[in-house]
Amino acid sequence: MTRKLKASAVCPHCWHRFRPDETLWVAAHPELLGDRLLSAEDPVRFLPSRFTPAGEAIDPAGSRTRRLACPNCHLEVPQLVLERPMVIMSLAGSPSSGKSYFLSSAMWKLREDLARHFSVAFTDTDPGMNRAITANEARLFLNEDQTASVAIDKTELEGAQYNSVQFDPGVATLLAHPFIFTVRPSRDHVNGHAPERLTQLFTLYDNAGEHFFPGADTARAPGTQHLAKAQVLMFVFDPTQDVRFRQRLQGVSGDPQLAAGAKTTRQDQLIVEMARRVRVHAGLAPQERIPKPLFVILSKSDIWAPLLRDEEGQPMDISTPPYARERAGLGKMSIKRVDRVSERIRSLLVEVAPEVVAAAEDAFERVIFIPVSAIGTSPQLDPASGLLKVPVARISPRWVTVPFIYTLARWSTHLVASDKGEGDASFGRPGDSAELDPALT
Amino acid sequence: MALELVYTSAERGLRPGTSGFCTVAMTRGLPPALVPRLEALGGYRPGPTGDGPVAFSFWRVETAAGIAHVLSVVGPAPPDHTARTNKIATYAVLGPDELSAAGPAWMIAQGGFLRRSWKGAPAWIESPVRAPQAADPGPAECMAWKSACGDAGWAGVAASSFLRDQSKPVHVVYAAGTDPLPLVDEVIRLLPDWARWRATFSTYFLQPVAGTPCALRFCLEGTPAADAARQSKGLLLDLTRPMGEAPDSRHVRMARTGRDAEAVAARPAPTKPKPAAAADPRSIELEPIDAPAASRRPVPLLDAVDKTEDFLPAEDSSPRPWMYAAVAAGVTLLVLVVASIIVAVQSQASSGGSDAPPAADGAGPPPVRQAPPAAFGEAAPTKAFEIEGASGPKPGAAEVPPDMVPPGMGAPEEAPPPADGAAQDEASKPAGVTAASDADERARTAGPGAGALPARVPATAPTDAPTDAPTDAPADAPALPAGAGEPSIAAPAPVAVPQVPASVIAMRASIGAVALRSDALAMPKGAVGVRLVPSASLAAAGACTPGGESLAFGSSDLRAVIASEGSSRFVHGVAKGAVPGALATALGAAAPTPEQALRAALERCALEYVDAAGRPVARAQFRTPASSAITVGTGSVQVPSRATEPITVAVWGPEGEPSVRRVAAGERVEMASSGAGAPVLVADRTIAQGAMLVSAKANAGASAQRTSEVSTEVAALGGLVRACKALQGPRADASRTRNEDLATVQEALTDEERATLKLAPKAEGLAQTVELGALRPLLPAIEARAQQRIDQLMPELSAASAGARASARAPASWRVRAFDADGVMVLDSVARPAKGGAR
Repeated sequence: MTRKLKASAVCPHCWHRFRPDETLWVAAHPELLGDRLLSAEDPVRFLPSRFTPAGEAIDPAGSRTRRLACPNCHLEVPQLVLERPMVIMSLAGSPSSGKSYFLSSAMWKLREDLARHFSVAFTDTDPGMNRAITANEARLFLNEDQTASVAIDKTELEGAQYNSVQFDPGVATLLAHPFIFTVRPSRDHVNGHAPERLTQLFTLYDNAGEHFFPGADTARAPGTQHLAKAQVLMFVFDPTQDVRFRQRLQGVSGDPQLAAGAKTTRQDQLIVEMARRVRVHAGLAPQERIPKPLFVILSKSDIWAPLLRDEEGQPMDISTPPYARERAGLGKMSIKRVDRVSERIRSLLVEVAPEVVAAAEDAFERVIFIPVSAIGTSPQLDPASGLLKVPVARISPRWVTVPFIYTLARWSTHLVASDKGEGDASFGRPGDSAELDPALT
Repeated sequence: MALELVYTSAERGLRPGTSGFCTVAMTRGLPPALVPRLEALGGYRPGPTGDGPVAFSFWRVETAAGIAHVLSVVGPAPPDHTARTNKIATYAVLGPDELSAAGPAWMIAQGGFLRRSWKGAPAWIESPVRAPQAADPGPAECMAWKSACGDAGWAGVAASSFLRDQSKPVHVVYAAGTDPLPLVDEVIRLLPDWARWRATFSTYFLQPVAGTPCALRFCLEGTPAADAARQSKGLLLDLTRPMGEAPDSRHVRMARTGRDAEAVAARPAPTKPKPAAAADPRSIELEPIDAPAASRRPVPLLDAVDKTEDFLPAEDSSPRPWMYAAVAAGVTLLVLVVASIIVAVQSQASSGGSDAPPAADGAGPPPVRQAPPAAFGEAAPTKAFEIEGASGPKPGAAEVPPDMVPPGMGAPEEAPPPADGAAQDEASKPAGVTAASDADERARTAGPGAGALPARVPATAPTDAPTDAPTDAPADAPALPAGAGEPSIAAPAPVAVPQVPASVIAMRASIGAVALRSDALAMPKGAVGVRLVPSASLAAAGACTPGGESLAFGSSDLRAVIASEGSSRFVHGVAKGAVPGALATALGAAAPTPEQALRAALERCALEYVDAAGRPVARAQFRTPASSAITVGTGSVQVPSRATEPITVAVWGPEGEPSVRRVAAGERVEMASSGAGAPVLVADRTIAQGAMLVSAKANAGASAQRTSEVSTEVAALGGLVRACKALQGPRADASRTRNEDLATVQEALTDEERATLKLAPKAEGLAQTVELGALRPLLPAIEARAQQRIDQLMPELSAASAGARASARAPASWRVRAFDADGVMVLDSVARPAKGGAR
């Protein structure tokens, strides 16, 4: 099968844009170890000049290889990165706002719901690269012991979730480990005959919340610079870390995260810092609005859902998903419903924490507020360990897939149907790399 | 005193504004540059059961100031302020005088040295902690290993593997419940003392950190690290599976018995105390080649040959018999080579040629081709850059398309084969490759301090080009921004790295462009790749070398790439279109043609040959340096130089370290190579405008005279000792010998002793005698004093003798190199004595 390469690709590790002919290959010969940018055990990266008829590169010692690496950071990149559009979706938020839980739940539910409602396969592009997130998914959703309570480990600023690269000899630069997923129409999808045209990649990162504090973005730990390369930005706002929300929720919920003395954070400052980094690394002027959509994801909606009311003062349904199967081989997303919920959440935030809305809308051209609950229930304090743990039997995520399917429905074509109608004509696509071929039939 | 750093998740960190995972305590005075390096070492994941083990580690963190020896402990901590999982990492940075002979594992095991908790607010630690010290415990029977796997000898296998190749990690997989720290300690105790503080380790290894090696990796069963260990090369000791009996070897016997019988037996009668025999790296025994497989993966087959040179510590430079033999052989070879070159030079000189390549200082033959310096803007010498125009490519040389796209991605099928098959074979490779590589390795692995880092020419002006900023070029014109994402820019030239004969560049017309193509770049022994290293001025002009494999200037069509063909490498270039203004400015040319610009740019790049570990083993460049030999005492060599920029000059002999000086414009510098008989090199920029004159003059050595003086004094002292002994002996009669002994001792009396004996001060010159009975009480003190002085003089005598011997057989030449501010070598020559030998 003929493989069509993109004119250029972005490395999911270091976000360096490179042409396919600049791609390095990973030596396969067992003696060729010790890449100069990586560790002594990593195979040497090389620019080949000899290939087999099957398209394999021949390394300097004569072994054949198919593995590719970025010419800048030398970290391995999947072949699909060179062939298909890649949508970088960046996730930011304060420490313990629920980013890791949200990411794990969302990825698990996307695997389920995209297949079930949309006939779209959501798979790991390279299972090895996604090992950390799949481990968290298994911990939450595939636990054989339904009486158990589990917790996801606090995300570190170093260690296994980062790749270390020696851009300078002897000095390790920690790059956030990307999680790459392939979105592809299934055989029974209405466009299932053209997966090679509709396949695209979602790339996500799970940064520690500390990374988003001012001053944490350094040359040695450029872990959040994906913000500037992202087509879609998400900010996880945790109402339980806001003093005013906490006051309103007293008596509404008995969640231990609302206990007196729990940590609070000025989250509007993190939005400002996030916008600053996007502008700096994308080369935008300080006063310029960022032409990308920002999802403000209000986490832990199971706690604060009672505060959300519609125009008539009635509780809003933010439990049942805003999508369903439209017909065989096609699912439909209700963008209007999501937008309506977004508008009501905005109103709630304007009332309770207006500076958050101001910070977001001042920096981004388009802001969508999404309520999610990664686990759908309150964690419990485990007296033995002192940790907040989640009873696996009660895990029931809410709306965690909405930002991703919303993105597919609104800014992509031919995969997900929607009711956007005329929509918001003033707002274009989130990024060129997510563009699909309109000539597809 | 050790400096501490404590890192955990807390509501507030030591640095204002920090929270969550952050440094909460630190000794005041800890170098700020070290802080992020330490923090990056604290990655931690609980084990498969969720309550992971504590990770004790020893790291050697390379910094600009040298190597920091860091002990660390990382382990689980009580939930943090958000009721989530937590960890605590404590680091202790040791001073060079705190590296206890007992080794790092022993030090970590001392309770209370490394903090395991931190309570309260963030705080500065005002007083450094005292590192525990202990004498060298020597090898001991490895009981922990015996308990863990049934045979203590496996500790010896691990120690032996580490000593054989410190760059290859040793993986040990252990089961939960096993305490790995005693295992590490026992392995380290089997190592000679020079190796103990090189044996980096982690008792709970998770993943490698680039730039921070970990030699002994203890991996917990069930972790991804254990899975990776089973896939890795090198030694794997899997304690979770039956191990059987370790194959017999010296270290295995040491591990089993706790003593090194061979070393004791082999130790010669010492003249002064020596460290334990285990510290002698020469006596390390390799594992037998037919080692039986006991672990899941057998101990890898080992070389049957003795690789003792691999084990030589950096500090150990005492001559060995085989060294003398090798030097003798090398000198013989050198004489032959020099003689042949002199004949060739004379022959060439008689025919008008004057640009003969330098005689190598034992570093092998001259370059394969020697083209005159091709300064930018000059007409390209025919030999250096051949334009073949429309007549087509050379036979056997493939066409190079301008876009340089490799096959498989819309690229040509094959890279061009060598134009003339000029790749050198192993025999013609410079002999200095191995020696210099060893020197570089010694420098790299030496102890703390600036001297531990490889000797390099002082860097030129650092580039401001970003190294980590992502690029955002449009998709349809994916040009690389200037300098973006460069892994290495403008690395200063290591002065002593072997220089591979520079290859010339041929030029051929191609499709709408001019293609450059180098001759085959001969790969020195040990090199597995070549990378392009642009000079600082090129980097500032927007050069980027992604991965070191190619050279580009933004979106311009000036590009070059390194291609492989068999074991050889080539540089292919394509030049067309406009020359970027910044590049033209950097090159100092008003309107260069594309091929002129690319050629000049390549001349400002170095080709760095790297081994499998990425270490440079040799270097080449396209610009041909001046190479006329410098005769001591006569004449000079003129080196072209830009008016305002400094030139770095290095001179060294075959056995010494380079002496490096920077010569500024208008400056005259005299410098001497280390070693006896070395001439004084004079680099003079005060005479000629735009040039540096390099000459050499003899260095008046004093070794021979000093040898004579010291040996005379030692002889006299020896006679005094003998006289004292004789006079204290039973046979003290009035023989002539006794009188001579009395005179000898009386001559050696101090004025105080003379006063005690009621003799006039020696300065008065009175002829007085003293009775033996009066002198006898003073004899022991006089003898001891004489013996003490002999002990003081003997090292000096040895050194002076060696110097005199070396001076007598001083090397025939000393290597002289000079580098311009861009790191480009402008002089590669030798200084050698004139015939008749005035040195």
